[in-house]
Amino acid sequence: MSFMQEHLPALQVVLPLVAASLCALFRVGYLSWLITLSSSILSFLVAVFLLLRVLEQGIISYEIGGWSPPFGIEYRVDLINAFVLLIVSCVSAVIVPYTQKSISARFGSTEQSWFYCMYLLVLTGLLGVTITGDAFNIFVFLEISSLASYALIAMGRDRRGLTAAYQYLIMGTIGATFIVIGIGLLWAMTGTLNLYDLASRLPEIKSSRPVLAALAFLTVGVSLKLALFPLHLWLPNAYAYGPSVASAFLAGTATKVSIYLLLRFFFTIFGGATFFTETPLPEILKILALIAMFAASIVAIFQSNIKRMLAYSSVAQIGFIILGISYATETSLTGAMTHMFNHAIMKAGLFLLLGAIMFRLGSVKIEELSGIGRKMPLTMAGFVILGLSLIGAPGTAGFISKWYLGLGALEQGEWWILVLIVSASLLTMIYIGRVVEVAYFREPTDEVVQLKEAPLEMLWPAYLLIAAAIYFGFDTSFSADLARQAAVLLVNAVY
Amino acid sequence: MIEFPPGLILIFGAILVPILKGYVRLVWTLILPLFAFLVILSLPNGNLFSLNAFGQELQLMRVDQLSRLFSYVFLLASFIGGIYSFHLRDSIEAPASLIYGGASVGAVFCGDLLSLFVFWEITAIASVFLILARKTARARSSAIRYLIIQIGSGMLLFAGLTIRWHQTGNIDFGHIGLDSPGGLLIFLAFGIKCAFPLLHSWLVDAYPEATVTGTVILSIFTTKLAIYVLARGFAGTEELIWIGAIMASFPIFYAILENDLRRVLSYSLINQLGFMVVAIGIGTEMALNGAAAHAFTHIIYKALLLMSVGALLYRTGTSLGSQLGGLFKSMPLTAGFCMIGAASISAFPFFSGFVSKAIILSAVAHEGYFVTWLVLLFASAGTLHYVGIKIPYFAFFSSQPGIKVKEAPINMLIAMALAAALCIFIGVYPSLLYDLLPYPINYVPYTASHILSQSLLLLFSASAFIILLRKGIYPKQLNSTHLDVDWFYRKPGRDLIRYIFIMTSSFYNHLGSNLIDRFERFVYQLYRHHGPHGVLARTWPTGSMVLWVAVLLVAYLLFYFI
Amino acid sequence: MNYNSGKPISGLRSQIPKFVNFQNIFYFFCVLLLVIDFSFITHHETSFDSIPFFYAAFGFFGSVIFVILAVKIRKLLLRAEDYFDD
Repeated sequence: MSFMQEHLPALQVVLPLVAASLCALFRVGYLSWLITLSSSILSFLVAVFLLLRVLEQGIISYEIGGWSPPFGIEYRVDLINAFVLLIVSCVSAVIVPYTQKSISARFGSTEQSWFYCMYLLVLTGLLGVTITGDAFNIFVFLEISSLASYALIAMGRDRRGLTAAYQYLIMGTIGATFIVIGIGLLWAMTGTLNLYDLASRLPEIKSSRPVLAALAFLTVGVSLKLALFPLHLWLPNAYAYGPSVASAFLAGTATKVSIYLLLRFFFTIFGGATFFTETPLPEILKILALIAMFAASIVAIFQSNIKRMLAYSSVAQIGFIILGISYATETSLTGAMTHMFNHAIMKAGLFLLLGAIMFRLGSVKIEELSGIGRKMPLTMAGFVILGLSLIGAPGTAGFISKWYLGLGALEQGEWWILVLIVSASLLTMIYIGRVVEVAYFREPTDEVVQLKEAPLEMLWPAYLLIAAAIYFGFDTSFSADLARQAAVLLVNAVY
Repeated sequence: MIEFPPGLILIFGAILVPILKGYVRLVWTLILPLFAFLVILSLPNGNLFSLNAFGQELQLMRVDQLSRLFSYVFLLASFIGGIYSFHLRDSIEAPASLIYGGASVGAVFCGDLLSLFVFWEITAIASVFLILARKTARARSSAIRYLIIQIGSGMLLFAGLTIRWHQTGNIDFGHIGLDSPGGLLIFLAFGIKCAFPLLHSWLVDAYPEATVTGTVILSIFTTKLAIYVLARGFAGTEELIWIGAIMASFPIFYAILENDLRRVLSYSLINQLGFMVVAIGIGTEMALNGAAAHAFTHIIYKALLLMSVGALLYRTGTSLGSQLGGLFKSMPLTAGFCMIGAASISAFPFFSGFVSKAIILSAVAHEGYFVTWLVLLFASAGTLHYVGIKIPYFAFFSSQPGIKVKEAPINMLIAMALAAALCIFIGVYPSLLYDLLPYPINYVPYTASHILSQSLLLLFSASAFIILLRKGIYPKQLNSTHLDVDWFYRKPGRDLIRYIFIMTSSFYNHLGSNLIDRFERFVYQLYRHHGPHGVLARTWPTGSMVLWVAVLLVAYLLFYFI
Repeated sequence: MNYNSGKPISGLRSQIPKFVNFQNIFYFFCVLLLVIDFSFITHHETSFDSIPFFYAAFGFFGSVIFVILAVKIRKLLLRAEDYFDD
């Protein structure tokens, strides 16, 4: 048991990686699903254990292959990435039970295996990016997850998925290139790739031009990956035309991991909130975040494809998170981290429910959903609850994170930001309200009349997330308190 | 050991009610309060359950003698109300009643103001359905007024608690007092729900408009919850003595004039609350015991009275004193139960009202508030008139039209019988109630002096009724409206709002076309940029994205280097 | 004043006789209690309730006064039944 405990950080990445290769070897759909399911749940458990250990004994440093850093690759788990690991593995563990029904309906046994293989590779990559303490290793895992996710999106039902995937590939590659350029510059200046070493060596030379150039490359690269306005253009297509499961998974996790990278680079490596606020970054990020909150929400209002609508909503919600980061105070970062967690739950849940509608109806065009609330009551009720949470209604998880974000703005004396947060939430209300209006207050069309409620296998994972969205609206001892502890670490650049 | 707020048993249990039918539903609605009762019975005293939210520890289960007593009587009343409303077929009233009761029980156990606020608002929202369910136009507009005032009370509570939070750094719900602006706002919030004079109009406006069962349920929770929170937060606040004295006396004038028997009982509700408020204002252990005991007995006999009048309304379709009468022959059991309730509220010896009201009167006299004591004595005599005699007389004995109807349905009779039995039982064995009180008590209600003085007061008051009735001085029952404070917002207030509305609408008409044009142009512009084909929603040109990347990179580099 | 008097109860007095049968018994009790009160019991809840016949007098005259007051007040407050509905 102690051996297992010793190697938990490695297991976190190795488990899904091995599972992915098993899927590729067996190529039997159902078996692959079982492998994916068990490895997902196991990595969730590993993430839970890691978090518990971090809470108990502080930072865990794990040397891959026994090579000690700065020469070998170090996996370094502190509260911040333990929290993100938990988000990623948790969303994955909830989604996998759901996939079987929707994937087996569309693909043959072999394709299913490839799907699960890609899914697991994305998971591997995301977990790897999060857990590793080595800058180049981050790039490697980022590429693993990106390449696999291009493949995932190309497997969508819509032929446009191919173009979307191609576009995602171009943009993702540019982003990755920028990141690797940034890392290269840092390496040239400091001679190390280990994040911990970087963090200790950078403060002396942080105002030299190559380092600032590195920061610029990293900023743009990561902004691309996390779809910060105006670099969000790849995201709506990718989410809209990929398979629902992939949309749910990527919306819940991929952008969150990118945000984690942003936090890691800006705060941990470059020296905490003091450095961050010296640069012009906060202002730029704040303006971009505000534009994202409004422009993306308004675009979402005019969308007719609900998946696209939710994708634009993701861009807007990322705006909320970046807004929290731009203040770089304990409270605002708490808000940002909590919103990362809550948004992962809500968006994954919403995409799962949309997937259920897609499964039954074959379309998620808003005008074709009229009266669907009567035929798929559970699905639509879930949609309403998660929609409320997305709006930020009190009693739901979304309220808590917006509360902290607003509090963070107030602490800086910028009450007008609070007004903007509330008005952006009102825009959210409009686009969720549109769906509710169509689903409940219009007469069902002929296609809708023949619908049945979504299958149970697809409903219960979604309802798990709904329950979580309500639970974390009342009990914040897990989400917000953990986020606050992580925020303290970020502000003070403890690593 | 179950450690979660017991009120939630009712609230979550209520979700199932709409899908249940017939006896299963009855059993379920009875099991829920029973189960919650057993849970509370098994709990030890102390703060048993807390949640972390907003950086505060929310105490959701503060169990002590005071919260126990109120939760018991709330659950007991829920139980009786469940039986009484068995005949209902709609799926709104029963769950709303349960949620309402559950939220009240939940509120009773709150150890902090924030969770109290949450339950406070749930009671407001759940209860409004009991008024809406009457489905008349009057009930609808009354419900809206009710809701606005109740939510207003919630807003005041929220404002008060934020100020308090800001000043003291915690939101514990202990003694609050009037010496800070936050405390004042909270006092006002409680005062609205407690129907303080001038803030009382929602009660007499809305309660008589609710459904047959709705009025019974409404009379149980909101105001007694307010008594509970006042006892917690403002015990010993001298102002309450005067407020309570006014509450005890002014409604009797309305009650004696009012024609609708359910409105009479609503006024009498305020009058009875007055006794409790006075006791809270005095704030000694004995007085608080009196307030708690009176809340307990009052819930039961007021429910009993409203149930019997409700049964009349259910059978005859009216609760107007001028149209009822002579129903003693056709509804003898209901009449009997009504008289037991009337005897209890008038505090006849060996009925429940006597054993609780006597404590309050003794406590008032003991502390030397003689004027207040006289006012309460006067209010006691009044109570006998307008409820003790008036209700049974005009409903059952004055041989008016002599409508022929059936006896009340069996479930109503059972519910009334239960409540009536409790009224007598507590009256005869007061020690059962006294053991539940928050402070130790060694009060003997049945001394010769007490019994005789109360009997004399009541008998001579009754003889005055007979004489005045025979002389024709006693006010006749008229189909009419008697103005109350609600006149201010139902007449001039409404006219003002209409006036503002007309003014603004003509203002808009004036600017109208211009503004609408602009707005349409604005939306068009939005659509052009944000719509599916707008610049901001275009997602296909990869080149433009790369351009953006380059622009941003240059921008960042520039900013960093400068 | 737009005042709809409705239908007042006709002949309240005519119904009293049914009560009358009980009235003598009722008055008998009143007197009996008075006598007991006067001869055997002293009250000491407050300083002035030991005045003879205090409770009886208070009950009776209190009631009379407030009924008369209520009738006076009614003149001020009475409106038609549909006063608020328009």
